[in-house]
Amino acid sequence: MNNKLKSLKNFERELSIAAGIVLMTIIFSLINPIFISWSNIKDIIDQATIYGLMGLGMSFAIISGGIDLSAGSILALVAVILAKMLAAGVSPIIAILVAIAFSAVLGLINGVIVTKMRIQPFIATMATMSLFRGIAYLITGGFPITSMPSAYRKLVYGSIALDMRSSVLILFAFAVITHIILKYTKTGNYIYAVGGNEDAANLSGVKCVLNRNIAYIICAIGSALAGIVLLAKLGTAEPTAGNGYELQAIAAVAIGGASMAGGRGTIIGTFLGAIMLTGLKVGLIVIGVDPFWQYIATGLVIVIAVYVEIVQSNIKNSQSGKKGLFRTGKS
Amino acid sequence: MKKRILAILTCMAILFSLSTGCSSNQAASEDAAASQPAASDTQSKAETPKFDFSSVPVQKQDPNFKNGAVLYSDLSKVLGSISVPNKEVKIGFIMKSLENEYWSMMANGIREEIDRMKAAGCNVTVDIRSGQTDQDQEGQLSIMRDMINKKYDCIIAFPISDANLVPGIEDAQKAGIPIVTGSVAYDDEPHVPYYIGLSSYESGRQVAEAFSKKIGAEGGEVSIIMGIPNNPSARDRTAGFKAWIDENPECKLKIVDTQNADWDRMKAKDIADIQIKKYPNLKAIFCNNDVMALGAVESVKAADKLGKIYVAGTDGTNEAIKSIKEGELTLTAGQFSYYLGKMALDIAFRAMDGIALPERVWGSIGIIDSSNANQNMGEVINWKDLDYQVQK
Repeated sequence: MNNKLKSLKNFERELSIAAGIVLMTIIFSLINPIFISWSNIKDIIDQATIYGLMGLGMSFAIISGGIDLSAGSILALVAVILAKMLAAGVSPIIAILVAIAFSAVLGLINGVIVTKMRIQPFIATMATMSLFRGIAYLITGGFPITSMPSAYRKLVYGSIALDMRSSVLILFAFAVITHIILKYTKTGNYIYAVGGNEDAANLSGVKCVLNRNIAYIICAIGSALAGIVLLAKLGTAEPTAGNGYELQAIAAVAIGGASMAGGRGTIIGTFLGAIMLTGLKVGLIVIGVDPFWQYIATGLVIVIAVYVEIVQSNIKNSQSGKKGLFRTGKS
Repeated sequence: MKKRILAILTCMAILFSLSTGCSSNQAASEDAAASQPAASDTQSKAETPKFDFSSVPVQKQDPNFKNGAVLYSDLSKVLGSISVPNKEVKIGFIMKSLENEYWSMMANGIREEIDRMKAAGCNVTVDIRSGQTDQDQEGQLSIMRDMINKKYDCIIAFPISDANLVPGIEDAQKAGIPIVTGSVAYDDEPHVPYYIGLSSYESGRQVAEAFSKKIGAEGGEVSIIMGIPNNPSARDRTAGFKAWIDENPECKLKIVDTQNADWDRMKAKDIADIQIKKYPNLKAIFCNNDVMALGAVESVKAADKLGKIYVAGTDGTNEAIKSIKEGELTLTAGQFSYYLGKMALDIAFRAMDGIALPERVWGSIGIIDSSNANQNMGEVINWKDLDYQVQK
């Protein structure tokens, strides 16, 4: 098989999501041409930033065979703590760095509960979801923290070229970094290995505990970045922020072709998944679909997108006739 | 041998406690018997000629209240000062949860009233309790049961759902404890004759009317950002808003879009972004609560249309009032929960007196905008302080 074809084959999933996005764009634009206008495309990218950042992080947790239900709570807790620091006059850059470091600790807590206490990821992060949000309530007393300094808001959510927001740069930078980690580093390989088959990975000498912890830390950093952007976008931190956003992030990862059983998934897939979900949401509003039907449409699209992926991988498996060790998932 | 002694001791202990239990029960029932004629005396002397509610206008605009409701502000003019029994009175006040501003403001209002009662020489305790979260239905019921067991003189309850406190209400009525319900009205089985609440429907109407005044005679396009319709207030605020616009075609307001933002600030901003882009002539956005309205304000600011697109919320949170003062949020349909708790207390005292009030009472609501945001919120709704008279 020649190399070009092979490399294209590796991107089958990404190509089919991209095709889905193109199809969706054509349909929405035919109904209402506003959808294809630059200001709308710019808005879709802007709105995809929060779910995208969370989804990119979530990819790590899911590929490593786990899940992070606490992502929305981490977003809220980080936003609240960052807001407290900014309100106290800490310079934005330092406050952001401290917030990211803090989120790494939160991710490590998730990781330790999963790896050392051996509690299943779903339950462990469901518990920390409540724990982290509780802390956010305690810190704020239930009241929003308002009036963020404009220097901070301009830094993270100011206008840059083409009327885009600077937060887009954070999304793209995080996407590139996470893509490199997952695709080109040993850590990335190990995370696939742990998620694909933990016992086999263990026997081959992969440090499973370490790598799963790293996955949860990167996941938490993704949520923290989302919190940082959200705070700049709204100028207010509230303990209720991000409630339920983790499900959007998980949906983006699933549409992106990751297996919930772990061991499979890509950053480009998740990125496109987030764009597709947001594009769908915006599109349904632009063409004027009733809010109740939007729920139904979103659910159907997720089912179809994931089903297409399953059919694809079945065809692929029957063609190659064997399953790879590290890249298998339930199919 | 030891066991036997222990058994005898336990038996004695049980017997002893039983006998004391009996005697205290007896004492209590004697007390009740003694106070009964006294109470009916005061009723026959004071109540019947004193209160005539026929002059109190009945509001019928809210379709949820088939028999209409009276406004607290009208009712309080007839009722006058509160007569407080000259004995220890224990009132239980059950809220939904203290984790959001609406309820903590209400609690603050009641605490102020407790201080005022003390200053007036009343021997009244108000026990303010709430569920752990606003989903804690069972927790709220156990709080109510606890209050019934402790024989509180009156219980004021803002139920989490239509149904969760029904068993508690039935028990309280069996025990002869008067109940005042807040926000949820019980018309039959159980039938609770004392109710204080707010008309979400009327709030929606008021916002539509306020928008019309701001926009002027030429009218224009307006949009709605609603919360998840999982509670009546989202449905009714939107319905009231639409109804006013339908009933007043001369104002030429047109609802071009209605979207759901799950009560979430960021989702509201995202939706407002789209609405502003899709409807370049949009004149106003009505949001079902202040949190979403403040998200929409961020969107209007980003589009550089502050002052060109009016944004309204509902609630009147401190953050919203601050934003109005800063000239960003246009207006909010104030719910004044700080005063709603006080109104509930007023009604509770009448219920303990056995006065038959109009069964459905609405607390004061009103529009807060730049013209009155700097005032004390009590002035906005013409609040008259409760006046306590200790019975002699």
